[in-house]
Amino acid sequence: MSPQNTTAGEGGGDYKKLDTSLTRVFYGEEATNKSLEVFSNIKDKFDACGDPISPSVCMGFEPLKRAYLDLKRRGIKIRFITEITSFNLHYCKELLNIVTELRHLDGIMGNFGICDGNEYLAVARIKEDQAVPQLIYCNVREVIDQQQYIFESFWNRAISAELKITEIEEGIILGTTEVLQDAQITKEAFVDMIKSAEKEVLLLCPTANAFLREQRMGIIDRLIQAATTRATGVNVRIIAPTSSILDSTIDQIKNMKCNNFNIQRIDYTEFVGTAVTTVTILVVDRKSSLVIEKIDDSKENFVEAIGLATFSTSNPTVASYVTIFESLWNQVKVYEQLKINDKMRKDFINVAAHELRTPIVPILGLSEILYSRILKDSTHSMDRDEMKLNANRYLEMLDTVIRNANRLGRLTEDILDVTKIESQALRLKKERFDLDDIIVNTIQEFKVQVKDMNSGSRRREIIYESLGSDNKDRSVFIDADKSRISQVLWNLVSNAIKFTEEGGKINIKLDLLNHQVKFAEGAAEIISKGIERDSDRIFVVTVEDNGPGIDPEVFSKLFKKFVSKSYHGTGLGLFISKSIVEAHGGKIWARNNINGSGGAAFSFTIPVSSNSTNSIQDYQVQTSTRATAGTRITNEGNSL
Amino acid sequence: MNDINRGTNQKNPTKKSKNVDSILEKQKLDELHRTSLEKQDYKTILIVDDEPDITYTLKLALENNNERYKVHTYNNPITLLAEFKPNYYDLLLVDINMPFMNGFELCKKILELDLNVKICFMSTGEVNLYALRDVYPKIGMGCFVKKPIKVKNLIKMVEAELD
Repeated sequence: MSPQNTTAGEGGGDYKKLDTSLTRVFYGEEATNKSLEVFSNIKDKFDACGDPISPSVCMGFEPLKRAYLDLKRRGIKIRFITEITSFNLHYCKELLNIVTELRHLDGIMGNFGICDGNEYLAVARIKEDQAVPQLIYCNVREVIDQQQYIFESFWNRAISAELKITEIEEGIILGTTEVLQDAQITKEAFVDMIKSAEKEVLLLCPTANAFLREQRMGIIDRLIQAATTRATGVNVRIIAPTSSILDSTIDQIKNMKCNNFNIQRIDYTEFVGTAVTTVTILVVDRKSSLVIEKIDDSKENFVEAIGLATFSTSNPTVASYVTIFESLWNQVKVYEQLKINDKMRKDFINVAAHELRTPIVPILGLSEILYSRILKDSTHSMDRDEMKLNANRYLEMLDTVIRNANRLGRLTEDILDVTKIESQALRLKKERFDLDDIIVNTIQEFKVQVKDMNSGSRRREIIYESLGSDNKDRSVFIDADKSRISQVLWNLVSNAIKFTEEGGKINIKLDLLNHQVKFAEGAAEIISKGIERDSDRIFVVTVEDNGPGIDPEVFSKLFKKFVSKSYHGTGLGLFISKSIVEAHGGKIWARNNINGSGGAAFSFTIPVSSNSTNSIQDYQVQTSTRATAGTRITNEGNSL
Repeated sequence: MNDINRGTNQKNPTKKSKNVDSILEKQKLDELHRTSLEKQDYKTILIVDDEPDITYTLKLALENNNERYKVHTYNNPITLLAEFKPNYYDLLLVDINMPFMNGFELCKKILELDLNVKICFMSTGEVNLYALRDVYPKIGMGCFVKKPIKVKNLIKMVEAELD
């Protein structure tokens, strides 16, 4: 190949002028060599304009890249215009570091450059990363001036490369949104998206029919498969409307008890008054969404039932659908919880009403009877025996009235406590006191009170084993609400008394443990932890009896409200006790004695006061001596 | 069901006094005789409620100064079923909320044993009587004892039901 020479002017001129003002086309290697030669002669500035492929040639073709780097080294001012796209982005970024200024212009075709305003280079077509196949060279002043004007007008219309690069980079993250008009394509996209799911699928079905159509398409089976068999376990959540026609299907799915596959039912109309959505929303891996309009819900076939659909990988769009789905999902949960709470509240009112009204029957009835009897007695003359007989009858009635009034009073207090607990208004008046004193006081109180209540018949024995009771200086300090802790003790001891017959034994034990209490299946397990801090140490108070033990029927709901197998309890005591203990940072649990002696044992923990004066060592010594030295508080009279 | 026979033969065997010589004793005998004749008309009421204080109170309320009612009480529906005497009671006052067996279940079983007995339910809560009547046609319309109840009202209600 040889260069073709052309004269710059039609009419010709002198040779020298012809020789220096020329336009030539170079091919192959010569094209490259010529361009490198021109580059090496640039003194001041280089203006270049190229199509979207040009950056790859400038940066991907090594000799040309070196030439550009050389220009930069020599401090040549390089202005470069190109169309920056997501495909040439990395070359443009490279170029940005070399040229003085890079600008973007849409739709550039062809490539040219002007060196120092004196030489013009142009290439029509180029290939990515390859040397230019041919080069047009021209140094004709008029041509150069004209091209310089073209360059300047392009330059002025072009926008900053940084701006365009940012736009593209965000665009890549934003993704795209497209409208799918062909229902068949939508169907394929639906299936493909579910096939591609790696982590999560969210599906919202607007109608029961939509759910059934998708089931017929095999979507539901595919989702079950994705949730159960794929290695990662795709987390599938479906929101479907409450409709009786879906009941059996959904029950069937729920019975599979697959953790990764959850369906929630939603009564759209109950929620927002009208149907919340008429579109099916599918979101896969929080990366892509497909929203399908339904146009004829009566159609069984998916393709016939649907209208337009939008498929999006655009982050804001996908994120919005995720938000819609999550809000509805949470709303269903909240709504279910509300229904449960409402039922619990109604149950509480019913039971509370029953418990409150029951003692009023004898209080009111017997008072009325007593009133009329005494009125009648006052108008009749009676002999001594009759008077005595009547007096005994009246006293029995009054006993019943008082007993029921007391019951009503206790119940009122308990209900008020429950209300406080539930409205989180239970305030603890914490003070530092000796737990030992409280236990001893409570036992003393029982001796007085229970004797009053059950005169003569039901003898009990209460044994208290404290920490190292032979040590007179011992102190078992806790920071707690004194009256509340004593209420817990009172509840536990009165339960024990209630469930033991004559000759019953109630053991109260106080332990200090350097352990944490862990719960398993309603029973507690003490896990050894070793002593590190004061906060690791806890007192454990256990109230044990030799009664019939806890009924298996009530065991699991023991600490809930109104659970009682006794007809003399409010059924609130253990619930309140649990709340009090937990408010103090402790735990409470129950177990049936398994060592053959029968009976039930209730234990609760309470943290040791953090600034207790006793050293850890002291406690250890006391704990070890406890077994041999128990304080024995027994009832000396006939009854307790 | 024969009230007179029941009254005399089953519930109120004639009592005899060994001391007939004194006027006082004779007067007492006369009195006894007179009341025994009157008692042929008394009604037997059964109260079932798991709360002993309630059965105690209602029994006293119905029997207080009122010779017309004889009241039996039970606190355990299971025991009652085992001991229930058909064609013996004129009226049953049955608590609805009881452990082991609620009042409805109890009455269903009782009606199998005694078709004619009248039943009044008692409860501390609201009960839809119309709904109840469909299941228990024997239940008197006005007869539902809402606890607590005034003695006066209880007697009125029982009287109305027995008339």
